[in-house]
Order: sequence, then structure tokens, then C-alpha cells
Amino acid sequence: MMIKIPNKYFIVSSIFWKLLLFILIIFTLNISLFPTTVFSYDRQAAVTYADKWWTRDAAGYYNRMYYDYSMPERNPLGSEAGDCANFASQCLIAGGVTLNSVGYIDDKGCIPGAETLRQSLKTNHYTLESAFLPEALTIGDIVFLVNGEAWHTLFVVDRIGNDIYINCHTDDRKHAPLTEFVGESMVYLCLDSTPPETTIEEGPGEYVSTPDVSFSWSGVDDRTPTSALVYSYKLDNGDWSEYTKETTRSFSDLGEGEHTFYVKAMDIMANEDLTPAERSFTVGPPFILTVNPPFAEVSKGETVTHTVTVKNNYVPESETFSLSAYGFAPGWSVSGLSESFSLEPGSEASYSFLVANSGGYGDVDIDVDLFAMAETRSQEVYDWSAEPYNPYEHPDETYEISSSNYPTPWKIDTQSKIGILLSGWGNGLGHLLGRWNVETVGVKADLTIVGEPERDLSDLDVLLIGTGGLTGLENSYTFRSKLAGFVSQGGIIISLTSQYGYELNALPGSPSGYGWSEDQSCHTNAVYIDAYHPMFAGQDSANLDASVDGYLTQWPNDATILLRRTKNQMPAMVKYEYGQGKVVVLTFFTDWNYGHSGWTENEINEISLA
Amino acid sequence: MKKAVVGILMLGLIITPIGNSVGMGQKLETEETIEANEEARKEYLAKQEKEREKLKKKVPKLIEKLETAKEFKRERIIHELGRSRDPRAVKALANVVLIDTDIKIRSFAIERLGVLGYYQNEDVTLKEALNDFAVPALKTALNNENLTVKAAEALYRLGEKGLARPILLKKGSFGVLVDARDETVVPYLKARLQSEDPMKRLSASYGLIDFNEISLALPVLENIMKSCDDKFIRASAIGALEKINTEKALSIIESALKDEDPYVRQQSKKAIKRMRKNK
Repeated sequence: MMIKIPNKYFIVSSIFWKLLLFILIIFTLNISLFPTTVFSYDRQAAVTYADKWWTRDAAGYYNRMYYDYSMPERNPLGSEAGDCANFASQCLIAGGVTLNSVGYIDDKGCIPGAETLRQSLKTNHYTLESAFLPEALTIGDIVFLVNGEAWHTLFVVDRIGNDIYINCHTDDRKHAPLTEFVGESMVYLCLDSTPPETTIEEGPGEYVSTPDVSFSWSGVDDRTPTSALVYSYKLDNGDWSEYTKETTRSFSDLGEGEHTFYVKAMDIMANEDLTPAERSFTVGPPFILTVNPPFAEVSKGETVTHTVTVKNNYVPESETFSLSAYGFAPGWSVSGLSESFSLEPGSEASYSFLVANSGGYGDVDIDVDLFAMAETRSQEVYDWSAEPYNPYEHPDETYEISSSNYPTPWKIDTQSKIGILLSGWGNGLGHLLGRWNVETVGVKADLTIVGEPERDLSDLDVLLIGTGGLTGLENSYTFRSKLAGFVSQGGIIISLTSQYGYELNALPGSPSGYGWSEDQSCHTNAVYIDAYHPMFAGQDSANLDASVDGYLTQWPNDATILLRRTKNQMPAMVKYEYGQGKVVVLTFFTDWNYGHSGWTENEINEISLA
Repeated sequence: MKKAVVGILMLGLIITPIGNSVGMGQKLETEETIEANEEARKEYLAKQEKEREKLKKKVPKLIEKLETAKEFKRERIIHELGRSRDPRAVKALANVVLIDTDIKIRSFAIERLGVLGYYQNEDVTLKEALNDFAVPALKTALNNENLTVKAAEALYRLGEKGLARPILLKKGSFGVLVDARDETVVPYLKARLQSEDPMKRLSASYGLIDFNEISLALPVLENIMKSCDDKFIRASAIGALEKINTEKALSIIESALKDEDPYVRQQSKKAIKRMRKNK
């Protein structure tokens, strides 16, 4: 491995990001663990109700929102048979249950008949009945007095060991011990408060290229049969749906991006699944634009063909795509594009344009825009000339003008974590690293990533700045603050020499020194090792041959000086920490030399190890 | 860092909105289910009638048992005697009112005798028995301060309105007066609207609605919905608003669809559904 990225600061920063991600995941899980709607048979609420309305108020009424089946003028049946089952029904409703009766149920949702309530709980609410006091019997459960059929209903409000306490109507009792009814035959009904589990059976995978998705799901409960479960679902941050027996749902025209579908089952006792099933997926864009190559080095007299590929994911064929590409810079010629076409969803089309360097230097920006369905996808193509801006100003004063001729190609990967600033002789570093098959990506002077508009500097681990790479940028506040932000958050900058020492000021920590225009370069035994570092392990001599031009006169206090110039003992390589990252400054011009046959094995080793 | 994670989790908990789900499981109300419930209602009433016939036959046996039975058994027998609506049962219940040593049992017997007043015009012998045995026993019971209210309620139900009314008005037991739409209770209900006890204000509102004094009840109920901390009182106020069934009442209930408590939301949802159906 040529680039030694990990150090403790990088690890710290890595842990930081991982932790942040973890917190985000926990936060997301938290939402699903405590969904916006949580409901189950609330025994305590039922008991609170039982204690509030266990008897009549000062005026002689029970809760008037319900009927009173012990007073004939107060119920629709003209019944005086007793209000016990009606009262137990009210307690269950207060606990969140909606009763489903096997027999008569009034319009308030209460069952006035004790036996009807008993059978409804057993049959429609899957409640277990026992003739003996079950261990599981607890508050919110029901005891019926039976004589073949149930004739009295007692609502359990407390249990201490085997002592059960009940509330009831007709006649009214509050926290009366069950022993008051000694001699009566009893049955005990333990209501279910275990929620069901929900599973998404079918749904989209992680990524879908259409905006239409369908889900199917199922649930399982300890008592309620699957056929009697009901479900509520929601998409993203929408509201939970009404409960339904449906087990499928389709969505269409979903927007591009991430979505999450949630579904939860509820059993007949109103116990909701507290951990709804969820599925996250990403709906791809309606169409994709790619340009290849996203950036290219175009030598004088050379022409590079760029291919624009349009992939239609789900734009209807009736829609029209408009594709354009244009760019202009002195000495450059861009053939451009202006196309209108329709495309079948799922298919793709390719177009091309040519970029010719007819004597230009610097760079040419080409804007590629694709428009359809009121949406535009753009990509910028960034081509540049390897010819320096001013061929007379270069780090080797003995140099005579000739074209760069790098022995190895630049391995470009737009997803690489190693960026190379495309200014000065930075491209030489790209070629140099290509020697070891290290894939790198270009970074423009505005510190955006070439060919990947979605990525930015913070996506990189390392930024390499080639010889003269800081020229003209040292006074840019934005440039400087972006570099400082990058390093302070764990990024690493490795910078080679500059034309003038003050240009190094642009780097975080503001080092300074003499640039190549201010120093006499030398190659033989140019530098010596000042502080031992593992990177020098391969060196058999303290003095190294290297293309060094310039030295540092000012560096942060905590910097480690690794190499010094032989001639004046001034630093030629320093390393220092800045925030959570670090900066390495070398006054080498190996990148330039690599294109001009002046490089030495020693310096290449140092560069690669740095 | 641990604290930060816990803090974020807590924040997540705090900002998690309270759900608005309600219980489920009820069959959809279709014409078939309404019809089926009507059948079930008839069946239930027929079953009660059958039980009553059975109890009527058992009356002598029940009276016999009443003498020896203890505790809950006596309560059960009193209930069954009352349900029989049998003139013989009236005498037995009046006896309990007069001589039983358990005040709770006496109170229950008084209530059951009062209930029989509802049926006295259907059966002359029942009416005679109530006049001959129940009324004197209940008049005696008026003297026991623990039984005064219950006895006055029962006497009112049995037609002794002139005697019972002032006692009930004085004691604040307005229920039977409201049931009978006795106008004399209205000023008392109006006065009770000023009570500090929301339960009493709620009860008075229900009473005034029965007398069609909606304009008085409505603001009180609206206030309960806005300011009462007790979810069960708020939910019960929805029941009163449902009885009013005006646009204003509906709009107050609709606001309760956003109540912080799921039970109140559930009740408002059901009330709205019934109001729309009954419109």
C-alpha cells in the first residue's frame, strides 16, 4: 500500500463518524420502537375507570355517556336486570378494547348481558376461560358468577397473592374481595394483552428503478387467529392508516429517494404490535445522465471523444428528453450537443461530443444538461491541458521546454478517497500514483470533485497538492477555510513545493518558506533524515537524492521535521497535526519531474510513503 | 458520550408524538349487522322475560331462602325477587327494608322496590302491593339518615312525588326528577352548573339537556372539554355533547379528535359517527 492513511487521528475521526452513524441509527430505531401510535389493552386505564364510575354520583346516576341497565327508564331495553356486564364493558372500552359481540350490543358499544359478554370475550376476543383461579389472572380481567350461564360480572381491580379484588355494578362494589361471593360458581377470564407480530412478506428490494411499489404482509398473534388480525400502515412520515383487514398495499408515483414503509398488526383485544415491521428502499431517479470520461487530460493537438449516456428509468415515452452540452475556452473546441428525443422506459441512448485542444492551456468546462418531466440532470465535464500555464516558470531552472511525458497513466476513479488538486503539476502526482495502480480523483480549484457533483471534499481521506498547486490560491479565503475544515475534521493534506514560499500559507497551520523561485535546487544528497520515521525504514543512507527545491522557514510548533536540506539544514519535509487531521509539506517537485524524467527512486519512495 | 446518547434517546422519546389509534375489532356496521343486532336485542329481551317467568315461579322459595341466607346470597335473592316483579316479592322486600340489620342490603332492597314503580301501571296487583307494603316501609326508611335519599328516590318512583320531591331537591339527588322531567329540578340544575366539581357540572349539564336547556349546558361542556384534567369526565362530556347534537356540539367533539388521550379520541370518533347516523 502506497498511501499510509490510518493514523490515530484518522481512527479517532473514523470512530466519530461511526458513532454519529450509530446515534442516527439508534434514533431511527427509536422511532420504530416507539412509533407514533402505540396501543394495547390498557389494564391500568380500565381499572382507573372502574374506580371512577363504580357507583352513582350525587345525582344518582352512573356515567351518563352509557346506559344504565339497572334502571328501566335509563336504557333502550327498559331493562332492570342489572348493570354489571354493561359496567365491565365500559371498563374494557376504557382500556382500549372495542367489543365484538356474539349477541346484543348497544349503540355505545356495551354488552348488557353477562353471558353474552362472556361468550363474546371467549369467541370473538379469544379470551381463555378457567374454572380455577389462574396464575395469570390480573387486574383488568373478569370473573363471572355462573349458574350454567353467567349471571353476574365482576371486574378485577387488584390481586394480592390469591386474594382477588373486584369492582361491580348492581349492587355496586369497590375493591371488594372475591371472597364476598363465596359459595357461588365462578369462571375466570384472562384477557390477552400480548401484541401480535407483523412481517412484511413481499415488497421492493433496497433499490427500485420505478416509482411504483407494492407490499404484502402478515401477522401472527398468540390468541387472535391471523384471519382476525387488522393492520395499519404508513409510508415515511405520513399518518398511520385506519386499521384494515387488507394485507396488501400499492403505492405509485413515489418520489425519487429513500422511503420506509411500516406496518403493524393489531389483535382483537386492541393490542398493537409495538415493533412495526418496516422496509426501507430507495426509488431511483426517473432518468440518469452519465458522461464518460468525466474529465480528461487533453494535450495540444489532441481530440477526446466524450460519450453521454441517457438511461430512462420511468419517464413515459410520451415525454421528450432535451440534451445539451456546451463549453467554451480560448484554444479549445467543443463540438457540443443539442438533441431532443423520446425514449422507452427501461432503455438507454448514447450521444457523443468532441473536445479538441487546438493550442489552449488551462482548462475548459463543459456543461451537460438533460431535461425531462420538468427535471434537469446536469453534469460538468472538466478537461484540461497538461501544458503548464507558463512553461518558463517551473521548479527546475535548468529545464528546457518540452511536453510532459509521464511513464505511467493516471488511474482515475471518481469514487476514490484520494483527491489530487488539479492545479500546478498535480496531474503528475496522478500519473505517479498510477505507477502503483493507486486510483485517485481530480479536485478542482473550487475544491469540488471532478465528475461527481454529489461528492465534496469531506468525502475524501487525503488531498494531494502537487508542485505549484497553491499558486494563485493562497489569498482565497474560501479555499483556505475549506482546506482548514477538511483537515480539522480528520482529512490529510500532502503538499509538494511551491513557486514562492508564501503560497504555503494557504495550508492549514500556515507554514511558510522559500519556493523554487527563491532557492537553488539540487538533487544529489539534497536532503538528510532529521527525525526517524517508519517511512524511512527502506533508506540505507541518511542522505537522500531527491528533486528538492525550496525549504521551510516557518512551521507549527508541534510539527515534526523529518527531512532537512543538506545545504542549510532547513526543513524539507515536516508533518504536523491540525484538528483531527494532519498536514505533510514536502519541498519536492517529484510530480513535475515524473513527467520530465528527472525523478529518483528515493523521492518516489518518500512521496509514496508519505 | 454515553450521556449524549441517552440524551438523544430521551429526546427521541419526548418528541415522539402520542398516538391517535383506537381499538378495533368491531364488525363493520352494515345493514346486515344492524338487522342481526336487532334480532339479538329481541332474543335478549325474550330471554330476560323467560328468566322473569322462571323467577316468578321461584318467588315462594326465594322468600323462604331469604330468611336463612347470608351475605351475598341475600343480595342475589333480593335482586331476583325484584326482577320477578311479583306482588309477593314486594312484601318480602319491604320486610327487608324494615327489619334487616345490614344497611347495604336494606339500601339495595329500597332501590329494587323503587325500580318496580316503572312497571306498576302494567299490573294492578303489583301496584297494590307496592302501595300496601313498599310505600309504608319506605316512609319509615326516610327516617334513617343513611337511607333517606334512596327511600325518597324509591318513593318518587312509586308516585309519592309530593313527599319525595323536597327531600330529593334538598339532598341534591336529582336523577329521578330528571328521569321524570320534573320541572322543579331545573333551577337546581342551573345552580349546580356553578359547582367547582366538574363531575357535578357534567351531571347538571346532562340534566339540563334533558330539559332542552342546551344553551346553558353547551358552554359548560365546552369548558370541561378544554380545561378538565380527568379524561373520563372529558369523555363523558362528549356523551352529553352527542345528546345535544347541534353543529356547535359537533365542532367541539371534532376538536376532541385531537385530544391528548386515546380514550377521549376514541369516544369522540364514535360519537361523531353516531351523530352523523342519527342526523
